[in-house]
Amino acid sequence: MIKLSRERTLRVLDVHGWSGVLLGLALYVVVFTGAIAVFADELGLWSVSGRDVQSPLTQSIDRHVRPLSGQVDERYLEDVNLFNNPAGELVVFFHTHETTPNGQIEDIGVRYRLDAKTGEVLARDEGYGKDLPDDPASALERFLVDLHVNLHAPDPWGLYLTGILGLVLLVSAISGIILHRHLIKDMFLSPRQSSRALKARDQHNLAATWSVPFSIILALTGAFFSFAISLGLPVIAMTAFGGDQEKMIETLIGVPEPGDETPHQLANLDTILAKSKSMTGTDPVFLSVIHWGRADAKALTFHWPHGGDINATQHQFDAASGEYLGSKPRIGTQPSTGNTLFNLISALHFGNFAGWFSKLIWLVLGLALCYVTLSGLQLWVIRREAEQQWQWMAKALSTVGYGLPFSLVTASIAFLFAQGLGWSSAWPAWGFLLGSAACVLVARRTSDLTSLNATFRQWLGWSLLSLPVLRTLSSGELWVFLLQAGNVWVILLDLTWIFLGLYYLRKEPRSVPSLTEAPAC
Amino acid sequence: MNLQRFTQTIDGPLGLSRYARYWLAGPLTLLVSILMMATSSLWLPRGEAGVDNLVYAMVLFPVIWAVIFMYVVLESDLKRATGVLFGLFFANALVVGLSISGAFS
Repeated sequence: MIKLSRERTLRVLDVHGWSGVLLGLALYVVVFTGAIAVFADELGLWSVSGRDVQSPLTQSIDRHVRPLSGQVDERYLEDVNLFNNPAGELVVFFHTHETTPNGQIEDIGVRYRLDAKTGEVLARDEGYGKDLPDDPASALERFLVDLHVNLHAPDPWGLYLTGILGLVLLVSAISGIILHRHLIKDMFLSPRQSSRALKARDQHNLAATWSVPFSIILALTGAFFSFAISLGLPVIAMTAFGGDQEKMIETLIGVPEPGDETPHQLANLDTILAKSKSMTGTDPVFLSVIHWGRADAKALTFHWPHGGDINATQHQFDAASGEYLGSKPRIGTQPSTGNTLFNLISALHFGNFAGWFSKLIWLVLGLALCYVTLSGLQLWVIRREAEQQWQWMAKALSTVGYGLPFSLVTASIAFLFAQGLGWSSAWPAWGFLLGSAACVLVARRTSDLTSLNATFRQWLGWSLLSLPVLRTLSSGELWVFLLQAGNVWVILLDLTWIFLGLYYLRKEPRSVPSLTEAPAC
Repeated sequence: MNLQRFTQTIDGPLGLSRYARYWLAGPLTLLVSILMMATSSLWLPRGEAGVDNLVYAMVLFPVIWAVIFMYVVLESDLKRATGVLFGLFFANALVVGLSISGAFS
């Protein structure tokens, strides 16, 4: 219990309340999309109805990739990235790093998209990495992740915005701890039924108390990821590296010093990837080759956490001889506390340290945090029930609370349509905007909040139910085919949409005596 | 926000506006935090890999911001809060200026 004078307590209460009122809905968008994005890989897999090749980097890819190295500008052999998209296609990006006219260091090169089995080139794009066209198979996954990371605002402003929202979450958690006079007692609080205001406050306190540790973890790690790239690196480059950003990035990434530039045949990539798999027991998900075709070439494989370790691992090979050189920290060239800290932050933010189990926990905790945010705003409105100027907020709560998941579903529907018709990868964004516009329009036309919530529930229910149908129609992939190909996640997500759709269609919305009902998250 | 609780005037030579706490908790806190992140990369331990100070500085940034922000919110004496923040600002700005000019290289 933290004792403060009345004046200080009121100031902290102002900070807690107003930070929520001003930025709570934006925070809800970032936290909700982040909770869903924990399963971004699985959603990407679902969006393309699974893949024929479950682990493209363990296929025989050397014979497909090696000939491509002779078809690109020699300077793009400095750095080559290989990974797969949700459809199981192999993406190979031959590139180098250049300083753009505005002083930013960007990747520039040629990106191929290949059929991992046949090696057929499906697409070839050349230019700055950020200007290359989006991979159509990744469009839905990318849309969701970008909405979480930068709210689709241009760099660096989007990152600044989400970073500030991280700080808001942090200060809300700290001020909440200060305000909760009985933090431990509140963990076992039974919400009082005597009045709506008391009940709403108790429900908010109960959920918030349990969510405090997760709020602080998410706020610190989220603010780190947003500000590290957009603000931290440029600022620290000025002081610690005399303004040389390239040198700082090389120090952080641990780029080896240039060595023997003599031309040399590259070792077989399949052998390197097989060695990496045999050492870790898991499939590599990313391969990077530096100085392709030189005697000092190095290959780096990346593996997600496995075997009880919470850290993702990287393994380095001499890419000229294929010899294993040892594990490589993600930060720097040798083990360090900084690297351990970075790994810990990554594991805590992405929640992928124990596979689907930890992801599921992170999803639930993220949704709980959404509830805390919305219930806090609901409490604000209830306390101002007599003030007409605040009643718009009750409607905004419903519109954004239901509108965000509904718009994400319409983005998915647009993606499935676009995929079936071979349209551009921009359609998830259009679908999202159309869904949002529909929510705003119906909110403007409906004065009764009970019927507005009922409408949103119907929309959400039916749109969720349509997803498995549209996915099957757009791809022709029935569950029996998916099972045979090992695409179990697609079936699980189809079932999830059906369950959630039925839940929203069957559950009777509560009667709202005034404009103050907040939506369930 | 409840204006009365946040808009105390700072009297005297500083002559700050009635929104002093807003300015202190908002832009100045952010600016001081950024400067402290920049300077902390100079004095934090580099570690054997030479990267610890860089990671620590970026990880500490939101913590530094939260500590300063809550201090400004809780401090009753706004003159003292102003003095502390401007003290931190000038001290860290001086170090940043010296490092950019190459004084530490």
